[in-house]
Amino acid sequence: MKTISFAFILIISGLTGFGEEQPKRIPAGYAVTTVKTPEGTSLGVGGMEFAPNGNLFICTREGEVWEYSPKKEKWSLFADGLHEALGIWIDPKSSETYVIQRPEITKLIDTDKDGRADLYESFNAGWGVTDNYHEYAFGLVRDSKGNFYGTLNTSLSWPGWARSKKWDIARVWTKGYKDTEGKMGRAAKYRGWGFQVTPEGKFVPLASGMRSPAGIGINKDDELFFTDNQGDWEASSSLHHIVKGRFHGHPSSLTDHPDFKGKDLNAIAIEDYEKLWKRPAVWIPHGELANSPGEPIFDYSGGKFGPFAGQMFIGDQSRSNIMRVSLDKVGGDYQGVIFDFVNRLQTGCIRHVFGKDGTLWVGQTGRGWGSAGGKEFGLQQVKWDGKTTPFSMHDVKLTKKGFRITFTKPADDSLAKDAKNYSIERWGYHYHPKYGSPKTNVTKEQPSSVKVSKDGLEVQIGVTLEKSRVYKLNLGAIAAKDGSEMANAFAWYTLNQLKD
Amino acid sequence: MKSIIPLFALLPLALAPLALAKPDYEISLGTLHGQLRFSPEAFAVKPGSSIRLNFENSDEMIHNLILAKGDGKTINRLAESALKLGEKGMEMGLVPKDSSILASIGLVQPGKKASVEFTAPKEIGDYPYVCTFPGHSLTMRGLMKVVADPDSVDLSPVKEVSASTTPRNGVIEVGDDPRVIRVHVAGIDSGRSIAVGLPGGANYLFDAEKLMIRTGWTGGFINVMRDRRGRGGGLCAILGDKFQVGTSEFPLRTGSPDKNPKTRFSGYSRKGNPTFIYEVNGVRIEQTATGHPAKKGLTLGFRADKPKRDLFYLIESKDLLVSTTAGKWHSDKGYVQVPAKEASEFFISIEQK
Repeated sequence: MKTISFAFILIISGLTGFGEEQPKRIPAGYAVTTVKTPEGTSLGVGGMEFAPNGNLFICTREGEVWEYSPKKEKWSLFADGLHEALGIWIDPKSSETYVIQRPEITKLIDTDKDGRADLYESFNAGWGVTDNYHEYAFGLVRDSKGNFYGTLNTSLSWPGWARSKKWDIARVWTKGYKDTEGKMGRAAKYRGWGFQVTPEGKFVPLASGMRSPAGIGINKDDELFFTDNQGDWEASSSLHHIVKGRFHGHPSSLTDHPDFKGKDLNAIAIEDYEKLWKRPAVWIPHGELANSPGEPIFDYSGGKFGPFAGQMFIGDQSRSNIMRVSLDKVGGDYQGVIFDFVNRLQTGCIRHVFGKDGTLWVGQTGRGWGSAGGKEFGLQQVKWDGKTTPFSMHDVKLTKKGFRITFTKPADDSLAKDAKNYSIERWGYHYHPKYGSPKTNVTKEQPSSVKVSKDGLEVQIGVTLEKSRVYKLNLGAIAAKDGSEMANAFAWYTLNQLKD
Repeated sequence: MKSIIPLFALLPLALAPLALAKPDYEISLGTLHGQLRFSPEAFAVKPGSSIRLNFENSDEMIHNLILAKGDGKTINRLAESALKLGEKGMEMGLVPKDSSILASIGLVQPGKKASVEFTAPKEIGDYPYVCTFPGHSLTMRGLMKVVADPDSVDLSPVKEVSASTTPRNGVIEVGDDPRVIRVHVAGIDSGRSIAVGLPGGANYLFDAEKLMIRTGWTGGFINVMRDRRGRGGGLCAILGDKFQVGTSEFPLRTGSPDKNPKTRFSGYSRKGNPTFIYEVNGVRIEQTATGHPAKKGLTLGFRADKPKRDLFYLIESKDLLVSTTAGKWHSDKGYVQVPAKEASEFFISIEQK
């Protein structure tokens, strides 16, 4: 465990409110603002949602719910005593407030309207939870039909936790590895599952194989996505599309799968698990882009947040950056591209919400695992100035022979048409019980063909295409027609399936 | 030697002349809302001084007050005698006839006031006071300290509670309002437990899965440091002296004491004294608990919503004293049985022998 000295924390919290230092990487037209958090409170953000009255509600890892009035810049405590509250959902009409915490989904009701919740109603507690600290319950999103969704962390399965004998539970294929290598297991029901809770409060297990699924998001078509963290069975951090019945790779959760009832999970070959495994829609390469991604959120601001309307944003706890994702539906399934967007903020970014004005609010925590940003917790905003178009790759889509890359504004034609200005690297990952995977089959190349559109907004490149690979495209040498530099040089495209 | 002036009581017990002279001491006594506690729980006076005791019942329940010469055992006897008054009890303000009583105020309705004037004993010492309303006596008690120099007596000093709700040292303190916090406690194997800290230093741990009180404790509340700082991974520590209240899983049952009931935890209310709400075989139950900083015991308050069958509350009674305001405690069988028709509200006191 990383220990941060108190003095150090005091010093860095002291900086809040001073002239804002901007991140090293941030597209032109965007700026970061730090919001002052309540005095004397550790505000490790676990969930954020706007209420109909325009106030922002934040639930925290410390178990509190704070209400923030952006107009008055005032904080008030709405609820406390929860256990690591990692998601919140507020009805946009009725203001009904639900949080997800380790043991349950709780409806918080302020019966006497004094601004403090006084009735903590248990809405659903359909999953098992022990005192294993890794048994996080993440959320909370709701679809148009009123179903809630969340994800459940596996149990940390090494002798260090709880100093008890109950740690060695449902670990799969760990013989030959040291106990201290951070293997995850299943100490209680539905650890490692994504779930639905119906409007009537019924718990429905949806998809298994999750390890540390720290963020769940939903798009306007009620499609669900979650991020997972690199670890055992997880080659790298990743983004997944949740569909009922899918198995996302970590086998401990199969203990609660009806098809595996009574079976010895250690007797099933790794290759057989691999066949069941639904590959992530987007790999988020560990170490170069993210180490522990949080909540995915879609930009439905209609352009108020700049030229990336409809795309997804994901923050990372460890690297403290914000990434941008554009999904590509190929062969009926999602895959897609991810970019580094803002790098980096003051501390780990795990929760996000868009304000009505298109401001992206970033809820932060770095506690326990440390974060590149350095601060322990916080709240920041990323704003677009409403006029500046940064030069950036807007999207990368798979074609039959390579990729079609679009730009936010015209690229310099002479730079864009030169194949030497593109470097492309692809690799694969192992599927195995070990902690993370090195890159496998690393191959570098330059495009075999480059075709720039007349308006300079699009380029088609010819590339050797191979399934189950991550393609890293480096376009750092290409500038805009107006001379501006590329905001983010790299694009990482996950190619699971080829185009027919 | 009692002189009673009930300004408001169900029935005035005596009519004494209004005091003309100003007493040496005018003591204001109130109640902690929803806590079954007096406030303050101690006051000090000089030997032989004249006292006017003003009692204001700011609670939502009826209370009385008896001040006596004696100790904890005397208080227990007075409470027992009050229960035995039967039909006459209410008329008598639940004040039994007992030579130990120095002063008393009969039943005072919620929101009402009453006073009594009396002379303090000449002997230096502690004189307890208690509410003898059924179920209240375990926790509603205090001490009149008769001392030569009352100003020198340290009476439950005002506790400074950190303004931070997430203190760096992890020590959660209890001020004027109860604290309710989800915790994993060292030595107690539970993923769904809720610690309750009541003002003044009585605390307990409610298991929302097994619907039982895992432990009670007096003194400090809880340290969440190891669970809520850094990565977590450690467990919370209870900061006081633990005591057992003898319950095993699903202690409240309906119809039969032998069968694990079908239950659902519904949540809790934090208005006044924290109230846990759950269902047992379809019957909605509300449960509160009160304790006393100086007593190793809890008084559990129950409200059952129209049960059709008798209620049972299981208690492993080894080293425990159990009493109930409804039904009967069967020490041989290890349960309190409460007839369905008496279960709309009752209290069970469990304390260590």
